[in-house]
Amino acid sequence: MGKNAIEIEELEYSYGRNQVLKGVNLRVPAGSIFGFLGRNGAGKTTTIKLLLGLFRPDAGTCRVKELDSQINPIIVRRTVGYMAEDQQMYGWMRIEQIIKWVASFYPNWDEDFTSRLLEMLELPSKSKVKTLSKGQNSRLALLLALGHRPEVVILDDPTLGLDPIARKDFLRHVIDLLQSNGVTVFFSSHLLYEIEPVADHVAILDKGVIIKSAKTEQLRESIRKFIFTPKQQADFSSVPGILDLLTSGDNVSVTLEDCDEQKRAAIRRLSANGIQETALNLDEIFEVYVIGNRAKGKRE
Amino acid sequence: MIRPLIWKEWHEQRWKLAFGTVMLASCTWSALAARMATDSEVIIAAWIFGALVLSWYSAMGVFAPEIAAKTITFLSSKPVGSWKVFFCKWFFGWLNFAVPTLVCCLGLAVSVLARPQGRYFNIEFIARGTCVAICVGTVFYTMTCCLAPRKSGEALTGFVGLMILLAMFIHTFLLEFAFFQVNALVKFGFFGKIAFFVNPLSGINFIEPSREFSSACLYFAEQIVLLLLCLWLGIRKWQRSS
Repeated sequence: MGKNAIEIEELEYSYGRNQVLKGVNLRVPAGSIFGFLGRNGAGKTTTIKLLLGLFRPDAGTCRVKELDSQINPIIVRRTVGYMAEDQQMYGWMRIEQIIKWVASFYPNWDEDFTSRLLEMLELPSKSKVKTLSKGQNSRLALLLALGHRPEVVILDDPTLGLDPIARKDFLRHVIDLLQSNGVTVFFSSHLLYEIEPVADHVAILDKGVIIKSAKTEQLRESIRKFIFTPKQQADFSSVPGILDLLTSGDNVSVTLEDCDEQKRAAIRRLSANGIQETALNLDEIFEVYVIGNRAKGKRE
Repeated sequence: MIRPLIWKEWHEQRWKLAFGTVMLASCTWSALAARMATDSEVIIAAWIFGALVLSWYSAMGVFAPEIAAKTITFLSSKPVGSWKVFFCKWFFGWLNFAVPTLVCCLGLAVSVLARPQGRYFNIEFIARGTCVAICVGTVFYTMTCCLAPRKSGEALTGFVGLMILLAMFIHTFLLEFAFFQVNALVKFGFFGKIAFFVNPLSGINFIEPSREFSSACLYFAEQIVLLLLCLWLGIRKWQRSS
């Protein structure tokens, strides 16, 4: 994979007294589709705005293609294709006008590619932006983000407000356009099921810090849920890496990270009889990391 | 990279510009033709309308609509310096009151030249008054759009403008009173003058040619400093609004 397309180090940012980012560290490998997960208000959009050099961080650095966002914000924005969440554009412009207008900011704008995109995304070039549906608006925003053939594409909750069909349609276009030609995609969302099929790496941002960053497949492999009936006086503190512990009647459900044979053996020692082991999907993984009950110790 | 910004602002602001120009010119010319008031009163009313009302209206429609419509993120993410975007917007908003005021005053100047005996004002009076009106309008417009809180809508920006105007009137009243009754400017010397000329409205003293040149220089220097300060604050606010 080689170099990283995006590097964030010890990034801190506050809105007044409210510290939103508390030392974010992130590395996005070049050519990857990177899912940036977090709840609403976790700091995803702030991180992206810092990446684009729109805000000045309190501490830390952001680099896109080895360019510091604070030192070279204009070059960074020229390198990146950015689609904001619920992107609002100028309603009085016609589609052909807004394309021409955005193109004039980019010396390397590809007109042939844009024409093909216009056809592929089924956008009526003579229509005014204010007359477009939400789905068409998102597709136009995608076209405007890709027209200069950027090496890095940042999509900030791009399907926000779209109905399920429009969302799937949009994601299909994203995959068709980006997966094939080695573009790095930094995809921020709180809708995990839309990231799961496309992302090869994910990072989870919660309360201003990255709580997990790994390859999607590796994450799915290493996190396991065990359901069993524990022995009397079972001491769960002997099992390291508990992400979630739930009791339901006589049974407990324990979710472990970095699950290996040693941890499985520790769980077996706590069980009164058989153990049921299951893998988790990204939605469940996100849930255990963000709202998981990590209470350890003796079960009462 | 500034051409697309100019194109966009021109398309957004041109109707406001046309409306302001037609309205101010037609009102002034109707009032002059109908002899509703003395010629001097009509031209002074045109200056006041251009410098205070049009500039206030203009300030409300410069940054606030972009923030309210959330198009600011789209605009800011383009590879162009935020100060360029800010100045482009500021300049086109400035044109919205400066052009109508200038057009109106140029028309009056032409009318004086055509029929000098029939009018109670001369070219110098019009030129001085127009200069002061545009100066007052520029500072008031810049203060209104730059000092309004970050992410404020048109209504809040307008309210801030009214408060600035009120503060300017209070300042004028207090210092004019002090100047005429207590002669505070003489008492406090140079600092008294600084306190007096910091108010854009004190420019009305220069419409008549009686004031000394040094006072005029001090007034314009203070207004330039005030303008630059407001612009600096405005750019900071704009960058944080992205």
